Amino acid sequence: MDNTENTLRAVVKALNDVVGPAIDPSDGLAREQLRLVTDYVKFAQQRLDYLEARERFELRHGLALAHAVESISGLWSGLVRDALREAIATGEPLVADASASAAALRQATAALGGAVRRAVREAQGFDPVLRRSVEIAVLEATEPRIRFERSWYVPLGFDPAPGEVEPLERVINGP
Amino acid sequence: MHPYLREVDGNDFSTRDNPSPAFIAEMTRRYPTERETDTLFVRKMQRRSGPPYQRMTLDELSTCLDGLLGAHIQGAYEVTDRTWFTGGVSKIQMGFTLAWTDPKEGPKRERLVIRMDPNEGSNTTSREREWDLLRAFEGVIPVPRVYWIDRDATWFPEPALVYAFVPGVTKPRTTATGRVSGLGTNFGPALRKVLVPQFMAHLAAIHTFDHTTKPMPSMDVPRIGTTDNALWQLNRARRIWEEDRGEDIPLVEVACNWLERNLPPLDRISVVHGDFRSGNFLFDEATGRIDAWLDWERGHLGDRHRDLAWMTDLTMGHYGEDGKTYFVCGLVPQDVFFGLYEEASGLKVDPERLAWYRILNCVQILGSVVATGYRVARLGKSHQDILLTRVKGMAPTVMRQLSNMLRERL
Repeated sequence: MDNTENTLRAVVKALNDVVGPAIDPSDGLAREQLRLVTDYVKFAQQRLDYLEARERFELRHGLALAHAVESISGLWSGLVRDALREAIATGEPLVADASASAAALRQATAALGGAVRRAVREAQGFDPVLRRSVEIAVLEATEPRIRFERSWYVPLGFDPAPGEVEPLERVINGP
Repeated sequence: MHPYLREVDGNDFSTRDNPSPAFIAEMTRRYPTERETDTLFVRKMQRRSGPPYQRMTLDELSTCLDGLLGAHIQGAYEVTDRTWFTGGVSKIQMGFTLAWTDPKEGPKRERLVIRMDPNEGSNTTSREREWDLLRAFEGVIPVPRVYWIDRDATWFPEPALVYAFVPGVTKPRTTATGRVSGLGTNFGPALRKVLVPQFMAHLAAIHTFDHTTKPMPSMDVPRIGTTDNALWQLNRARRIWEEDRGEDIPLVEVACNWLERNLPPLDRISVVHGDFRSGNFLFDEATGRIDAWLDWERGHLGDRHRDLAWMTDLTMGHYGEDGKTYFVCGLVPQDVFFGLYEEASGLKVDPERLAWYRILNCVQILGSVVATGYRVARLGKSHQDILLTRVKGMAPTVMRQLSNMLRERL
Protein backbone atom coordinates (compact mmCIF):
# COMPACT_ATOMS: atom_id res chain seq x y z
CA MET A 1 0.00 0.00 0.00
CA ASP A 2 1.27 3.46 -0.85
CA ASN A 3 1.71 5.65 2.23
CA THR A 4 2.43 8.99 0.56
CA GLU A 5 -0.68 10.70 1.90
CA ASN A 6 0.12 9.51 5.40
CA THR A 7 3.70 10.70 5.01
CA LEU A 8 2.60 14.14 3.87
CA ARG A 9 0.50 14.37 7.02
CA ALA A 10 3.66 13.57 9.01
CA VAL A 11 5.58 16.20 7.05
CA VAL A 12 3.08 18.91 8.05
CA LYS A 13 3.19 17.81 11.68
CA ALA A 14 7.00 17.84 11.74
CA LEU A 15 7.12 21.29 10.14
CA ASN A 16 4.59 22.71 12.56
CA ASP A 17 5.73 20.98 15.74
CA VAL A 18 9.51 20.89 15.32
CA VAL A 19 10.73 23.17 12.56
CA GLY A 20 8.40 26.12 13.20
CA PRO A 21 9.41 26.72 16.83
CA ALA A 22 13.09 26.49 15.88
CA ILE A 23 12.86 29.38 13.42
CA ASP A 24 14.37 32.68 14.47
CA PRO A 25 11.32 34.83 15.32
CA SER A 26 12.94 37.82 13.62
CA ASP A 27 13.26 35.94 10.32
CA GLY A 28 9.93 36.92 8.79
CA LEU A 29 10.74 35.38 5.41
CA ALA A 30 11.44 31.98 6.97
CA ARG A 31 8.20 32.06 8.96
CA GLU A 32 6.20 33.11 5.89
CA GLN A 33 7.74 30.35 3.80
CA LEU A 34 7.04 27.72 6.43
CA ARG A 35 3.35 28.65 6.31
CA LEU A 36 3.35 28.51 2.51
CA VAL A 37 5.08 25.12 2.54
CA THR A 38 2.69 23.53 5.04
CA ASP A 39 -0.27 25.00 3.17
CA TYR A 40 0.95 23.50 -0.09
CA VAL A 41 1.67 20.10 1.39
CA LYS A 42 -1.92 20.04 2.72
CA PHE A 43 -3.13 20.97 -0.79
CA ALA A 44 -1.02 18.16 -2.28
CA GLN A 45 -2.55 15.71 0.23
CA GLN A 46 -6.01 16.63 -1.06
CA ARG A 47 -4.98 16.24 -4.71
CA LEU A 48 -2.83 13.14 -4.45
CA ASP A 49 -5.61 10.71 -5.40
CA TYR A 50 -6.45 12.75 -8.49
CA LEU A 51 -3.04 13.18 -10.11
CA GLU A 52 -3.48 10.47 -12.72
CA ALA A 53 -7.04 11.61 -13.42
CA ARG A 54 -5.63 15.09 -13.99
CA GLU A 55 -3.18 13.84 -16.61
CA ARG A 56 -6.03 12.07 -18.36
CA PHE A 57 -8.28 15.13 -18.17
CA GLU A 58 -5.58 17.25 -19.78
CA LEU A 59 -5.14 14.74 -22.59
CA ARG A 60 -8.90 14.61 -23.31
CA HIS A 61 -9.01 18.42 -23.20
CA GLY A 62 -6.10 18.64 -25.64
CA LEU A 63 -7.83 16.22 -27.99
CA ALA A 64 -11.10 18.16 -27.81
CA LEU A 65 -9.25 21.37 -28.67
CA ALA A 66 -7.33 19.79 -31.53
CA HIS A 67 -10.46 18.17 -33.01
CA ALA A 68 -12.40 21.44 -32.75
CA VAL A 69 -9.69 23.34 -34.60
CA GLU A 70 -8.76 20.68 -37.13
CA SER A 71 -12.33 20.23 -38.31
CA ILE A 72 -12.85 23.90 -39.21
CA SER A 73 -10.56 24.87 -42.00
CA GLY A 74 -9.46 23.37 -45.24
CA LEU A 75 -6.85 26.10 -45.39
CA TRP A 76 -4.34 24.84 -42.86
CA SER A 77 -0.79 24.69 -44.11
CA GLY A 78 0.68 21.22 -44.47
CA LEU A 79 2.81 21.79 -41.37
CA VAL A 80 -0.15 22.66 -39.15
CA ARG A 81 -2.47 20.04 -40.59
CA ASP A 82 0.15 17.31 -40.15
CA ALA A 83 0.93 18.43 -36.59
CA LEU A 84 -2.76 18.38 -35.65
CA ARG A 85 -3.43 14.98 -37.22
CA GLU A 86 -0.28 13.41 -35.83
CA ALA A 87 -0.99 14.72 -32.32
CA ILE A 88 -4.56 13.44 -32.48
CA ALA A 89 -3.44 10.07 -33.81
CA THR A 90 -0.94 9.71 -30.96
CA GLY A 91 -3.27 10.99 -28.24
CA GLU A 92 -6.47 9.14 -29.02
CA PRO A 93 -5.32 5.56 -28.29
CA LEU A 94 -3.86 6.71 -24.97
CA VAL A 95 -7.25 7.81 -23.67
CA ALA A 96 -8.39 4.21 -23.44
CA ASP A 97 -4.98 2.80 -22.52
CA ALA A 98 -5.03 2.22 -18.76
CA SER A 99 -1.35 1.25 -18.82
CA ALA A 100 -0.16 4.50 -20.43
CA SER A 101 2.49 6.15 -18.27
CA ALA A 102 2.14 9.68 -16.92
CA ALA A 103 5.09 10.70 -19.10
CA ALA A 104 3.38 9.35 -22.25
CA LEU A 105 0.13 11.16 -21.38
CA ARG A 106 2.01 14.39 -20.74
CA GLN A 107 3.97 14.17 -23.98
CA ALA A 108 0.82 13.55 -26.00
CA THR A 109 -0.92 16.49 -24.29
CA ALA A 110 2.05 18.75 -25.05
CA ALA A 111 1.98 17.75 -28.73
CA LEU A 112 -1.74 18.55 -28.94
CA GLY A 113 -1.23 21.93 -27.25
CA GLY A 114 1.65 22.75 -29.58
CA ALA A 115 -0.33 21.83 -32.68
CA VAL A 116 -3.28 23.99 -31.60
CA ARG A 117 -0.92 26.87 -30.79
CA ARG A 118 0.56 26.72 -34.29
CA ALA A 119 -2.94 26.59 -35.77
CA VAL A 120 -4.13 29.66 -33.86
CA ARG A 121 -1.03 31.59 -34.88
CA GLU A 122 -1.54 30.60 -38.49
CA ALA A 123 -5.21 31.59 -38.30
CA GLN A 124 -4.15 35.20 -37.65
CA GLY A 125 -3.49 35.37 -41.40
CA PHE A 126 -6.88 33.91 -42.42
CA ASP A 127 -9.86 35.89 -43.62
CA PRO A 128 -11.90 37.25 -40.69
CA VAL A 129 -14.74 34.71 -40.89
CA LEU A 130 -12.50 31.67 -40.86
CA ARG A 131 -10.23 33.16 -38.25
CA ARG A 132 -13.20 33.86 -36.00
CA SER A 133 -14.36 30.26 -36.34
CA VAL A 134 -10.97 29.01 -35.19
CA GLU A 135 -10.73 31.44 -32.28
CA ILE A 136 -14.29 30.82 -31.07
CA ALA A 137 -13.68 27.08 -31.27
CA VAL A 138 -10.69 27.50 -28.96
CA LEU A 139 -12.69 29.59 -26.50
CA GLU A 140 -15.51 27.05 -26.39
CA ALA A 141 -13.21 24.07 -26.04
CA THR A 142 -11.35 25.88 -23.23
CA GLU A 143 -14.45 26.24 -21.02
CA PRO A 144 -14.21 22.74 -19.48
CA ARG A 145 -10.54 23.38 -18.74
CA ILE A 146 -11.38 26.58 -16.87
CA ARG A 147 -14.10 24.83 -14.85
CA PHE A 148 -11.69 22.02 -14.05
CA GLU A 149 -8.84 24.33 -13.04
CA ARG A 150 -11.14 26.34 -10.78
CA SER A 151 -12.12 23.15 -8.97
CA TRP A 152 -8.53 21.97 -8.79
CA TYR A 153 -7.13 25.18 -7.32
CA VAL A 154 -10.04 26.37 -5.18
CA PRO A 155 -8.40 25.24 -1.89
CA LEU A 156 -5.60 27.77 -2.48
CA GLY A 157 -8.08 30.59 -1.88
CA PHE A 158 -7.72 32.75 -4.99
CA ASP A 159 -11.15 32.19 -6.54
CA PRO A 160 -13.34 35.28 -6.01
CA ALA A 161 -16.52 33.15 -6.11
CA PRO A 162 -15.61 29.82 -4.48
CA GLY A 163 -19.27 29.05 -3.81
CA GLU A 164 -19.97 28.58 -7.49
CA VAL A 165 -17.04 26.22 -8.13
CA GLU A 166 -18.10 22.67 -9.03
CA PRO A 167 -16.83 19.66 -7.05
CA LEU A 168 -13.63 18.29 -8.54
CA GLU A 169 -15.09 14.79 -8.83
CA ARG A 170 -17.76 16.11 -11.18
CA VAL A 171 -15.49 17.98 -13.62
CA ILE A 172 -12.38 15.82 -13.65
CA ASN A 173 -14.03 13.10 -15.71
CA GLY A 174 -15.16 15.53 -18.43
CA PRO A 175 -15.13 17.09 -20.93
CA MET B 1 11.97 22.05 -38.97
CA HIS B 2 15.28 23.88 -38.48
CA PRO B 3 16.76 23.12 -35.02
CA TYR B 4 16.52 26.73 -33.86
CA LEU B 5 12.90 26.94 -34.95
CA ARG B 6 12.20 23.66 -33.19
CA GLU B 7 13.60 25.26 -30.05
CA VAL B 8 11.34 28.30 -30.48
CA ASP B 9 8.20 26.73 -31.92
CA GLY B 10 8.39 23.10 -30.80
CA ASN B 11 6.68 21.40 -27.88
CA ASP B 12 9.68 20.76 -25.63
CA PHE B 13 9.74 23.72 -23.30
CA SER B 14 12.69 22.38 -21.32
CA THR B 15 14.84 24.08 -23.96
CA ARG B 16 13.96 27.34 -22.15
CA ASP B 17 16.13 26.17 -19.25
CA ASN B 18 19.23 26.74 -21.34
CA PRO B 19 18.27 28.85 -24.35
CA SER B 20 20.64 29.06 -27.29
CA PRO B 21 21.95 32.41 -28.58
CA ALA B 22 19.74 31.85 -31.65
CA PHE B 23 16.64 31.51 -29.47
CA ILE B 24 17.51 34.69 -27.56
CA ALA B 25 18.13 36.62 -30.78
CA GLU B 26 14.86 35.33 -32.21
CA MET B 27 12.93 36.72 -29.22
CA THR B 28 14.40 40.18 -29.83
CA ARG B 29 13.61 39.95 -33.54
CA ARG B 30 10.11 38.56 -33.16
CA TYR B 31 8.95 40.75 -30.28
CA PRO B 32 10.48 44.23 -30.50
CA THR B 33 9.89 46.26 -27.36
CA GLU B 34 11.47 49.09 -25.37
CA ARG B 35 15.27 49.08 -25.37
CA GLU B 36 15.58 48.79 -21.59
CA THR B 37 13.11 45.87 -21.55
CA ASP B 38 14.98 44.13 -24.34
CA THR B 39 18.29 44.53 -22.52
CA LEU B 40 16.83 43.08 -19.33
CA PHE B 41 15.20 40.13 -21.08
CA VAL B 42 18.32 39.27 -23.05
CA ARG B 43 20.33 39.37 -19.81
CA LYS B 44 17.75 37.14 -18.11
CA MET B 45 17.92 34.52 -20.86
CA GLN B 46 21.72 34.64 -21.15
CA ARG B 47 22.04 33.93 -17.43
CA ARG B 48 19.22 31.41 -17.17
CA SER B 49 21.39 28.31 -17.22
CA GLY B 50 23.47 29.68 -14.35
CA PRO B 51 23.26 28.42 -10.79
CA PRO B 52 20.09 28.62 -8.67
CA TYR B 53 19.57 31.36 -6.12
CA GLN B 54 21.15 30.69 -2.76
CA ARG B 55 19.99 32.68 0.20
CA MET B 56 22.60 35.18 1.27
CA THR B 57 23.30 35.80 4.92
CA LEU B 58 22.87 39.26 6.38
CA ASP B 59 26.67 39.42 6.68
CA GLU B 60 27.16 38.61 2.99
CA LEU B 61 24.65 41.25 1.94
CA SER B 62 26.29 43.72 4.33
CA THR B 63 29.64 43.13 2.67
CA CYS B 64 28.09 44.12 -0.65
CA LEU B 65 26.50 47.13 1.01
CA ASP B 66 29.88 48.19 2.37
CA GLY B 67 31.23 48.21 -1.16
CA LEU B 68 28.44 50.48 -2.37
CA LEU B 69 28.56 52.82 0.64
CA GLY B 70 32.35 53.03 0.50
CA ALA B 71 32.13 54.20 -3.10
CA HIS B 72 29.50 56.86 -2.36
CA ILE B 73 30.10 58.17 1.16
CA GLN B 74 33.02 60.44 1.94
CA GLY B 75 34.11 59.74 5.51
CA ALA B 76 33.02 57.36 8.20
CA TYR B 77 29.69 55.57 8.42
CA GLU B 78 28.17 52.84 10.52
CA VAL B 79 25.60 50.19 9.59
CA THR B 80 23.52 48.65 12.40
CA ASP B 81 20.15 46.93 13.05
CA ARG B 82 20.14 44.74 9.95
CA THR B 83 16.94 42.76 9.39
CA TRP B 84 15.26 40.89 6.56
CA PHE B 85 12.02 42.38 5.28
CA THR B 86 9.16 40.27 4.03
CA GLY B 87 6.55 41.51 1.60
CA GLY B 88 8.84 41.74 -1.40
CA VAL B 89 7.50 39.03 -3.68
CA SER B 90 9.89 39.84 -6.44
CA LYS B 91 12.78 41.50 -4.59
CA ILE B 92 15.13 40.63 -1.74
CA GLN B 93 14.97 43.33 0.91
CA MET B 94 17.10 44.11 3.95
CA GLY B 95 16.51 46.95 6.38
CA PHE B 96 19.40 48.67 8.18
CA THR B 97 20.25 51.82 10.10
CA LEU B 98 22.94 54.06 8.63
CA ALA B 99 24.83 56.69 10.62
CA TRP B 100 26.67 58.96 8.18
CA THR B 101 27.28 62.55 7.13
CA ASP B 102 25.07 63.63 4.25
CA PRO B 103 26.98 66.31 2.28
CA LYS B 104 23.79 68.39 2.03
CA GLU B 105 22.14 67.76 5.39
CA GLY B 106 25.06 66.99 7.70
CA PRO B 107 25.33 64.12 10.18
CA LYS B 108 22.30 61.87 10.27
CA ARG B 109 21.14 58.49 11.40
CA GLU B 110 18.35 56.90 9.41
CA ARG B 111 16.63 53.68 8.56
CA LEU B 112 17.18 52.53 4.96
CA VAL B 113 16.23 49.56 2.76
CA ILE B 114 18.21 47.60 0.16
CA ARG B 115 16.10 46.22 -2.67
CA MET B 116 17.91 43.64 -4.76
CA ASP B 117 16.76 41.37 -7.58
CA PRO B 118 16.98 37.59 -7.10
CA ASN B 119 18.77 35.67 -9.90
CA GLU B 120 15.43 35.65 -11.68
CA GLY B 121 12.14 36.79 -10.20
CA SER B 122 8.41 36.88 -10.80
CA ASN B 123 8.98 39.73 -13.20
CA THR B 124 12.04 41.02 -14.96
CA THR B 125 12.12 44.72 -14.26
CA SER B 126 14.51 47.61 -14.16
CA ARG B 127 16.07 49.05 -11.01
CA GLU B 128 17.08 52.02 -13.15
CA ARG B 129 13.45 52.79 -14.00
CA GLU B 130 12.53 52.53 -10.35
CA TRP B 131 15.35 54.98 -9.63
CA ASP B 132 14.20 57.42 -12.35
CA LEU B 133 10.60 57.36 -11.18
CA LEU B 134 11.27 57.61 -7.47
CA ARG B 135 13.45 60.66 -8.10
CA ALA B 136 10.90 62.18 -10.46
CA PHE B 137 8.03 61.88 -7.98
CA GLU B 138 9.87 63.05 -4.87
CA GLY B 139 7.77 65.97 -3.59
CA VAL B 140 4.92 65.18 -6.00
CA ILE B 141 3.34 62.25 -4.17
CA PRO B 142 4.67 60.34 -1.15
CA VAL B 143 7.59 58.15 -2.21
CA PRO B 144 10.65 56.93 -0.31
CA ARG B 145 13.71 59.08 -0.83
CA VAL B 146 16.10 57.14 -3.02
CA TYR B 147 19.82 57.27 -2.23
CA TRP B 148 21.96 54.95 -4.32
CA ILE B 149 21.66 52.49 -7.16
CA ASP B 150 23.88 49.59 -8.20
CA ARG B 151 22.74 49.51 -11.83
CA ASP B 152 25.17 46.96 -13.14
CA ALA B 153 25.56 44.74 -10.07
CA THR B 154 29.00 46.19 -9.36
CA TRP B 155 28.80 45.65 -5.60
CA PHE B 156 25.80 43.34 -5.20
CA PRO B 157 25.32 40.04 -7.06
CA GLU B 158 22.30 41.58 -8.83
CA PRO B 159 21.17 45.16 -9.52
CA ALA B 160 20.06 46.87 -6.31
CA LEU B 161 18.66 50.10 -4.95
CA VAL B 162 18.91 51.78 -1.54
CA TYR B 163 16.08 54.00 -0.35
CA ALA B 164 14.65 55.40 2.86
CA PHE B 165 12.59 53.13 5.06
CA VAL B 166 9.06 54.43 5.43
CA PRO B 167 7.16 53.18 8.46
CA GLY B 168 3.60 52.05 7.96
CA VAL B 169 1.44 49.12 6.94
CA THR B 170 0.11 47.86 3.61
CA LYS B 171 -3.09 46.51 5.18
CA PRO B 172 -4.85 46.74 8.54
CA ARG B 173 -3.05 44.57 11.08
CA THR B 174 -6.27 42.83 12.05
CA THR B 175 -7.44 41.72 8.59
CA ALA B 176 -6.90 38.20 7.34
CA THR B 177 -7.29 39.43 3.74
CA GLY B 178 -4.51 40.48 1.37
CA ARG B 179 -2.11 37.77 2.51
CA VAL B 180 -0.53 37.42 -0.90
CA SER B 181 1.08 40.73 -1.75
CA GLY B 182 -1.92 42.74 -0.49
CA LEU B 183 -4.20 41.50 -3.28
CA GLY B 184 -7.87 41.72 -2.28
CA THR B 185 -7.19 43.56 0.97
CA ASN B 186 -10.35 44.52 2.88
CA PHE B 187 -9.58 47.88 4.53
CA GLY B 188 -13.03 48.20 6.13
CA PRO B 189 -15.43 51.17 5.80
CA ALA B 190 -13.62 53.63 8.12
CA LEU B 191 -10.19 53.35 6.48
CA ARG B 192 -11.69 53.32 2.99
CA LYS B 193 -13.22 56.73 3.63
CA VAL B 194 -9.83 58.25 4.51
CA LEU B 195 -7.73 56.40 1.95
CA VAL B 196 -9.88 56.86 -1.17
CA PRO B 197 -9.34 60.62 -1.72
CA GLN B 198 -5.57 60.20 -1.38
CA PHE B 199 -5.54 57.10 -3.59
CA MET B 200 -7.38 58.93 -6.38
CA ALA B 201 -5.33 62.13 -6.03
CA HIS B 202 -2.04 60.24 -6.20
CA LEU B 203 -3.16 58.29 -9.24
CA ALA B 204 -4.20 61.53 -10.96
CA ALA B 205 -0.86 63.15 -10.07
CA ILE B 206 1.05 60.28 -11.69
CA HIS B 207 -1.02 60.24 -14.88
CA THR B 208 -0.92 64.02 -15.37
CA PHE B 209 2.79 64.36 -14.54
CA ASP B 210 4.82 66.12 -17.25
CA HIS B 211 7.50 63.54 -18.01
CA THR B 212 9.62 66.08 -19.88
CA THR B 213 10.40 67.96 -16.65
CA LYS B 214 12.53 65.18 -15.16
CA PRO B 215 15.27 62.98 -16.60
CA MET B 216 14.02 59.50 -17.42
CA PRO B 217 16.82 58.04 -19.54
CA SER B 218 15.70 54.46 -18.99
CA MET B 219 12.39 55.02 -20.81
CA ASP B 220 11.56 55.11 -24.49
CA VAL B 221 9.01 57.79 -25.38
CA PRO B 222 6.14 56.44 -27.50
CA ARG B 223 4.69 58.64 -30.24
CA ILE B 224 1.20 60.03 -29.71
CA GLY B 225 -1.23 58.89 -32.40
CA THR B 226 0.72 55.69 -33.05
CA THR B 227 0.46 52.14 -31.71
CA ASP B 228 4.14 52.13 -30.54
CA ASN B 229 3.28 51.91 -26.89
CA ALA B 230 0.58 49.26 -27.20
CA LEU B 231 2.81 47.08 -29.38
CA TRP B 232 5.77 47.40 -26.98
CA GLN B 233 3.58 46.33 -24.08
CA LEU B 234 2.01 43.47 -26.03
CA ASN B 235 5.42 42.26 -27.15
CA ARG B 236 6.72 42.43 -23.61
CA ALA B 237 3.89 40.14 -22.48
CA ARG B 238 4.30 37.79 -25.48
CA ARG B 239 7.99 37.54 -24.88
CA ILE B 240 7.50 36.55 -21.24
CA TRP B 241 5.02 33.90 -22.35
CA GLU B 242 7.43 32.63 -25.01
CA GLU B 243 10.56 32.64 -22.88
CA ASP B 244 9.20 31.23 -19.64
CA ARG B 245 6.27 28.88 -20.10
CA GLY B 246 6.29 25.13 -19.63
CA GLU B 247 2.92 24.43 -21.26
CA ASP B 248 0.60 25.75 -23.93
CA ILE B 249 -2.67 27.54 -23.25
CA PRO B 250 -4.24 28.20 -26.68
CA LEU B 251 -6.59 30.76 -25.09
CA VAL B 252 -3.52 32.99 -24.61
CA GLU B 253 -2.73 32.64 -28.33
CA VAL B 254 -6.26 33.76 -29.22
CA ALA B 255 -5.87 36.75 -26.90
CA CYS B 256 -2.53 37.71 -28.47
CA ASN B 257 -4.06 37.50 -31.95
CA TRP B 258 -6.91 39.80 -30.91
CA LEU B 259 -4.59 42.25 -29.18
CA GLU B 260 -2.33 42.46 -32.23
CA ARG B 261 -5.30 43.15 -34.52
CA ASN B 262 -6.69 45.87 -32.27
CA LEU B 263 -3.68 47.87 -31.07
CA PRO B 264 -5.01 51.20 -29.75
CA PRO B 265 -3.20 54.39 -30.78
CA LEU B 266 -1.89 56.49 -27.90
CA ASP B 267 -3.92 59.63 -27.13
CA ARG B 268 -1.64 61.07 -24.45
CA ILE B 269 1.68 60.16 -22.85
CA SER B 270 1.30 59.44 -19.14
CA VAL B 271 3.66 58.05 -16.59
CA VAL B 272 2.27 54.58 -15.92
CA HIS B 273 3.08 53.25 -12.45
CA GLY B 274 2.57 49.68 -13.60
CA ASP B 275 1.43 48.21 -10.27
CA PHE B 276 -0.78 50.87 -8.66
CA ARG B 277 -2.93 48.93 -6.19
CA SER B 278 -3.47 47.94 -2.60
CA GLY B 279 -0.37 46.28 -1.19
CA ASN B 280 1.89 48.80 -2.89
CA PHE B 281 1.29 51.81 -0.65
CA LEU B 282 2.24 52.25 2.99
CA PHE B 283 -0.10 54.10 5.31
CA ASP B 284 -0.28 55.13 8.94
CA GLU B 285 -2.92 52.89 10.46
CA ALA B 286 -3.95 55.43 13.11
CA THR B 287 -4.56 58.34 10.74
CA GLY B 288 -5.00 56.60 7.38
CA ARG B 289 -2.40 58.87 5.79
CA ILE B 290 -0.60 57.35 2.80
CA ASP B 291 3.13 57.86 3.37
CA ALA B 292 4.73 56.06 0.44
CA TRP B 293 4.02 54.55 -2.96
CA LEU B 294 6.28 51.60 -3.69
CA ASP B 295 7.09 49.12 -6.47
CA TRP B 296 7.61 51.41 -9.45
CA GLU B 297 9.58 48.77 -11.28
CA ARG B 298 6.94 48.15 -13.97
CA GLY B 299 6.71 51.88 -14.66
CA HIS B 300 6.90 53.23 -18.19
CA LEU B 301 5.74 56.07 -20.38
CA GLY B 302 2.52 55.09 -22.06
CA ASP B 303 -1.22 54.78 -21.75
CA ARG B 304 -3.00 55.56 -18.46
CA HIS B 305 -5.55 52.88 -19.31
CA ARG B 306 -2.90 50.27 -18.52
CA ASP B 307 -2.94 51.32 -14.85
CA LEU B 308 -6.73 51.70 -14.82
CA ALA B 309 -7.26 48.22 -16.25
CA TRP B 310 -4.70 46.75 -13.83
CA MET B 311 -6.19 48.16 -10.66
CA THR B 312 -9.77 47.30 -11.65
CA ASP B 313 -8.89 43.67 -12.31
CA LEU B 314 -11.02 41.28 -10.23
CA THR B 315 -7.96 39.76 -8.54
CA MET B 316 -7.04 43.14 -7.03
CA GLY B 317 -10.21 43.95 -5.08
CA HIS B 318 -13.10 42.29 -3.27
CA TYR B 319 -16.85 42.37 -2.80
CA GLY B 320 -18.04 44.49 0.11
CA GLU B 321 -20.02 43.79 3.23
CA ASP B 322 -23.29 43.78 1.24
CA GLY B 323 -21.95 41.04 -1.05
CA LYS B 324 -22.83 43.13 -4.12
CA THR B 325 -20.55 46.16 -4.24
CA TYR B 326 -17.18 45.43 -5.81
CA PHE B 327 -14.39 47.57 -4.34
CA VAL B 328 -11.57 48.43 -6.73
CA CYS B 329 -8.34 47.60 -4.87
CA GLY B 330 -10.51 47.14 -1.78
CA LEU B 331 -11.13 50.89 -1.73
CA VAL B 332 -13.41 52.44 -4.34
CA PRO B 333 -16.85 51.14 -5.35
CA GLN B 334 -16.54 50.12 -8.99
CA ASP B 335 -19.58 52.11 -10.15
CA VAL B 336 -18.03 55.42 -9.05
CA PHE B 337 -14.36 54.64 -9.67
CA PHE B 338 -14.03 56.02 -13.19
CA GLY B 339 -16.08 59.14 -12.38
CA LEU B 340 -13.80 59.92 -9.45
CA TYR B 341 -10.76 59.34 -11.66
CA GLU B 342 -11.97 61.67 -14.41
CA GLU B 343 -12.78 64.32 -11.83
CA ALA B 344 -9.40 64.03 -10.12
CA SER B 345 -7.27 63.88 -13.27
CA GLY B 346 -9.26 65.79 -15.87
CA LEU B 347 -8.51 62.84 -18.19
CA LYS B 348 -11.15 60.81 -20.01
CA VAL B 349 -11.58 57.08 -19.67
CA ASP B 350 -12.05 55.39 -23.03
CA PRO B 351 -13.92 52.06 -22.61
CA GLU B 352 -12.33 50.62 -25.77
CA ARG B 353 -8.77 51.35 -24.65
CA LEU B 354 -9.65 50.10 -21.20
CA ALA B 355 -10.92 46.81 -22.65
CA TRP B 356 -7.75 46.37 -24.69
CA TYR B 357 -5.55 46.84 -21.63
CA ARG B 358 -7.77 44.54 -19.56
CA ILE B 359 -7.17 41.78 -22.06
CA LEU B 360 -3.45 42.57 -22.18
CA ASN B 361 -3.28 42.49 -18.39
CA CYS B 362 -4.88 39.04 -18.31
CA VAL B 363 -2.18 37.83 -20.70
CA GLN B 364 0.46 39.49 -18.56
CA ILE B 365 -0.87 37.95 -15.33
CA LEU B 366 -1.05 34.51 -16.96
CA GLY B 367 2.52 35.07 -18.08
CA SER B 368 3.57 35.69 -14.49
CA VAL B 369 1.55 33.03 -12.69
CA VAL B 370 1.67 30.23 -15.28
CA ALA B 371 4.89 30.86 -17.20
CA THR B 372 7.40 32.79 -15.08
CA GLY B 373 6.38 31.24 -11.76
CA TYR B 374 6.89 27.79 -13.24
CA ARG B 375 10.26 28.52 -14.82
CA VAL B 376 11.74 30.38 -11.86
CA ALA B 377 10.74 27.66 -9.39
CA ARG B 378 11.83 24.87 -11.76
CA LEU B 379 15.33 26.36 -11.83
CA GLY B 380 15.29 27.52 -8.18
CA LYS B 381 16.06 31.07 -9.18
CA SER B 382 14.44 33.17 -6.47
CA HIS B 383 13.96 33.62 -2.75
CA GLN B 384 10.20 33.15 -3.19
CA ASP B 385 9.92 30.04 -5.38
CA ILE B 386 7.26 28.55 -3.13
CA LEU B 387 5.08 31.65 -3.42
CA LEU B 388 5.61 31.87 -7.18
CA THR B 389 4.29 28.34 -7.63
CA ARG B 390 1.31 28.96 -5.37
CA VAL B 391 -0.01 31.89 -7.44
CA LYS B 392 -0.75 29.50 -10.28
CA GLY B 393 -4.01 29.13 -8.38
CA MET B 394 -4.98 32.54 -9.81
CA ALA B 395 -4.81 31.25 -13.38
CA PRO B 396 -8.37 29.88 -13.75
CA THR B 397 -9.89 33.14 -12.49
CA VAL B 398 -7.85 35.09 -15.01
CA MET B 399 -8.55 32.62 -17.83
CA ARG B 400 -12.26 32.93 -17.16
CA GLN B 401 -12.08 36.72 -17.27
CA LEU B 402 -10.05 36.59 -20.45
CA SER B 403 -12.39 34.13 -22.14
CA ASN B 404 -15.46 36.21 -21.25
CA MET B 405 -13.91 39.41 -22.56
CA LEU B 406 -12.79 37.80 -25.81
CA ARG B 407 -16.24 36.28 -26.41
CA GLU B 408 -17.72 39.79 -26.31
CA ARG B 409 -15.27 41.04 -28.90
CA LEU B 410 -14.54 38.27 -31.40
